[in-house]
Amino acid sequence: MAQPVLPGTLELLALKAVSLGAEHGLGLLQRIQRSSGDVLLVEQGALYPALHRLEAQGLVRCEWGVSDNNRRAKYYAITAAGRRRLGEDTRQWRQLVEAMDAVLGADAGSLRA
Amino acid sequence: MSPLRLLRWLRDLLDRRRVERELDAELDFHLQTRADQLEAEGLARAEALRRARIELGMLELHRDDVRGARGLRALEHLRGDLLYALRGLRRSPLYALTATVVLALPLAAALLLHAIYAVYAYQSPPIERVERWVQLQGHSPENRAYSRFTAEEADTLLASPPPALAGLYSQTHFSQPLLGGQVQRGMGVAVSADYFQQIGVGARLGRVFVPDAEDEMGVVLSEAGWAQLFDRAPDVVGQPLDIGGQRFAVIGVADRGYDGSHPIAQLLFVRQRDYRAVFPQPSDAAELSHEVGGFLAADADIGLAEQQLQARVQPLAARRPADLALAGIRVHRAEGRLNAGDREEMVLASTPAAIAILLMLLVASANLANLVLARFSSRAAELGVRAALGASRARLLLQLWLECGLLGLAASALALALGALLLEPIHARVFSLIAEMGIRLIEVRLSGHSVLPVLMLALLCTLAFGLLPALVVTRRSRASGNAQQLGQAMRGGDAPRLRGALMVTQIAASCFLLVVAGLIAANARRTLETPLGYAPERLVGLSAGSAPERLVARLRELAEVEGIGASNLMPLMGEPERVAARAVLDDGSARSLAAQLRPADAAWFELLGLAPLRGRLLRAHEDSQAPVAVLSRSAAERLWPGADPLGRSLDLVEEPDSAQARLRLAGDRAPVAASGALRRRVEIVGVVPDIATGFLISGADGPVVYLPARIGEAGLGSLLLRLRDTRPRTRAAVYQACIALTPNEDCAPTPLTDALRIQRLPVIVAAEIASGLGAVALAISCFGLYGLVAYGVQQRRRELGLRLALGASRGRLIATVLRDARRQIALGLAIGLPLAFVLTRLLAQLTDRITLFDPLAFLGVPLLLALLAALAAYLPARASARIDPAESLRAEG
Repeated sequence: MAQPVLPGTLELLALKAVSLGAEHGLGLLQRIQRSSGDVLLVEQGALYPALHRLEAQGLVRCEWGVSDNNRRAKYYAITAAGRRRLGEDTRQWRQLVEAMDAVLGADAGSLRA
Repeated sequence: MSPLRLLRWLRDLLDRRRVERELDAELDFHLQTRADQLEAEGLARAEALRRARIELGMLELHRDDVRGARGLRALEHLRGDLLYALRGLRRSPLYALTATVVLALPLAAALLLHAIYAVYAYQSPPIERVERWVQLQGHSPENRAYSRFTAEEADTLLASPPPALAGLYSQTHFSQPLLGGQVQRGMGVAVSADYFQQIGVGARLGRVFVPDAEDEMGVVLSEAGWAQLFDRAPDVVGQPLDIGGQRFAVIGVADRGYDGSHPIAQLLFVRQRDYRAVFPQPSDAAELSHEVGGFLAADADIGLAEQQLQARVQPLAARRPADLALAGIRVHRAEGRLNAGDREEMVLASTPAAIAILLMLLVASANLANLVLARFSSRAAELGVRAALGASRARLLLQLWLECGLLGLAASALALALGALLLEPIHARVFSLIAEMGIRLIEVRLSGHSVLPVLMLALLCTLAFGLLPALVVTRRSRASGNAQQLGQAMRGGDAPRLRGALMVTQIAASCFLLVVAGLIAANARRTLETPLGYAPERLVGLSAGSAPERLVARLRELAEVEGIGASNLMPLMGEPERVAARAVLDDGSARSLAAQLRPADAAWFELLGLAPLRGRLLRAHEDSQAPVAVLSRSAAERLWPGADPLGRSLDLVEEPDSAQARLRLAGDRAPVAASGALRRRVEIVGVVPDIATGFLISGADGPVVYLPARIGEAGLGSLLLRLRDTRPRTRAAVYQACIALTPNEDCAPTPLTDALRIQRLPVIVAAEIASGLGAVALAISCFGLYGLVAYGVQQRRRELGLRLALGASRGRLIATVLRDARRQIALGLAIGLPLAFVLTRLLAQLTDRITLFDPLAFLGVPLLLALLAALAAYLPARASARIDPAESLRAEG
């Protein structure tokens, strides 16, 4: 069943999607949905403020190009700073997930040990 | 924010249209491409587009979020608020215009004051390396500063400047008469040999001084000097110029309009070597006459320069007399045309004007606060609605303040325009005394230095007059969030109290300003109206110099001179010393008073046309040993009231130093003890009318004791001549005669009419400035009162209509409306008058010689203020009586 993205994680998802290769907004949206096995449901309009925020911070850069369907499209690509940030944020996310897992998998026995 | 990010933000900010255009294109691409995909899945195009739109959600919301993400939303709000405020002001042009003018007038006054100061304090002369320009200043062990050095010290310092200084120059300012067809005052500088190389100023014509050239008695003109003395003649180089009776030759004209580094424009430059040779000063060795300046070396700073100079102080200090002991030399960065002492003096001199301008700003701010309060109050309902919709108080405050900020901006622009327009004429008027003395003023222009302070002042005023009412208005809007309650709060709560307080402040400040202006005008009037008691037209005073008998003999040979008298001081150029004069009365008791002591020869009385009222004048053969005296009428009347003073004897008593100081300060009103040592005893032989020869601001001379003396005796330092006519050539002939006789002394012949103007001009200018400021304050206050009462009438229209309908007479109605205004006027006067009274008493501690109480200033001016204010309040009040009861009751309350 489709899930909305966790609050505060949309920028990380967008940054990851951009890191896989230059793409326009709609492409990035579908990239996220496909790679989540259509589980994550990104509200379409919300992606653009996230992308512009990343751009204002210098984490992604953009240029105008021509899309497959022959239309003028804005393509986003990751910058070196974006790649560094993606590395840091991914590591923090993994730590968070491991910690969450550890807490959720805990039982009375493991606490006593 | 990183610089790169800031750059991106600025780019977005400056090119908002591009951002919006690209966002539109991006969202449109999304829609079309998604529709393409849906169409490929089998949907019709129209349906595909509809679905794509639904999936994308609310476009406007996303756009706003994107603006927020790019940091552009706050500006968007600001822009909206600004446009709103602009529209508001455009709807009330009268209010906007009035507020702008009311604020612009005192701002322009402040700008002018600051600009005149800035011209002297910050605008450096056009010299090279001005950022490394320094001045040397000696100081005593007690830290007393000496801005000059002796000639010998200056030469020693210049001979081997410390390595931290790239070079040193010295200069001595002088004023020598320039004699041609007329006498001109030659303000000039005697400079060290490589002065022009040091300051990096070249020649526009001919050449400037160079260290090794053999140009004896050469003179370099400034452009001002070239224009004034040679009418910009292109062949000026090589022409002779007589400076103080000595023949110099022009070698060039300085470039770049350089006219020295002093507050007044110098006409010419000569070499120190020549100047010292032709004008040797007997006291040269000990006189601190040389200013020393220079330039820091490229890699040096002030600390290093001072450190290196310290090693040179010891040999210099050894030769100083004890009262001028030298402990060290400081290095100051030089800027503008004032040294530290001048700067302090100028600040001190402009303090009264600054206080008056601040008071005017207070009046203007209070006035505007009232206008703004009235305006904000009328928007109470709208503000209530906004508050109810969730606008924060800060947001409301910002919106209200923005309107005032715009007014402040417009007022600043108007003030800047007025300042640029008026700086030159006002500067010329303020310093007209200097120009009157034949001294050239430097060119003035409005510089950036003055713009920032005025903008800050405008900001402060808008904060005061905008934020205060805005705070009061929005205070309850948050609490109640209810438009109706807010409106009531406005009418019944703090707003009217604040309005009343602001009005009282205005009237008090205006009253204070006007009374002070009235007093200054009273003193000016006295200076102008004091009868001299003689005709000054053809009289010229000059210094008797060191050989008075030879000078008088020489002057008697001139056909231009009709008569010569002598006294201790030139009339109208100072005041003689005062002594205690003690008279022993018939009953054996003594009566004393402070009297001016004026030794004069017999011809002096004749030149002034003084005829004896009783007895006789002094006689030509009577010298300073003769035990006789002539009294002025007021001295005779005060010493022997109602009795004949002839034949009586008078004791002149030496007062101790402390009493002397008091006499100087307080004039003949000083109480005297007459207990000091007897100086001499004289017999009264005549009484002459009172005349005015001292400072006219303190009126006529009062009690004077005239003692006999003859030319050549000590104490007769000043000659008085009556000339055949008043042409400049006649005066020049006298000057030439005395320079030919004593080349090193400047006898400075001064027509008494010039001395009279020099005395009168400063008080006239002071009275003009004070009355100008006072009149503006009065106009603003009256206008404010008019507005306040008119607003009150408008607010109470329904109530007043009801009263009329219930049978109140129109007179009674007017009285009701005027009640508040009356109270405010009375309270304002009650605060302003004592303030003015206390301040003038404080001034009295500086000098006793000015008029401190003037009925016109203390009674007439407040009366005028009260009358005008009452009229300003009455006009709108009268309008209340014309209210149509039926109409006002029908209207919504």
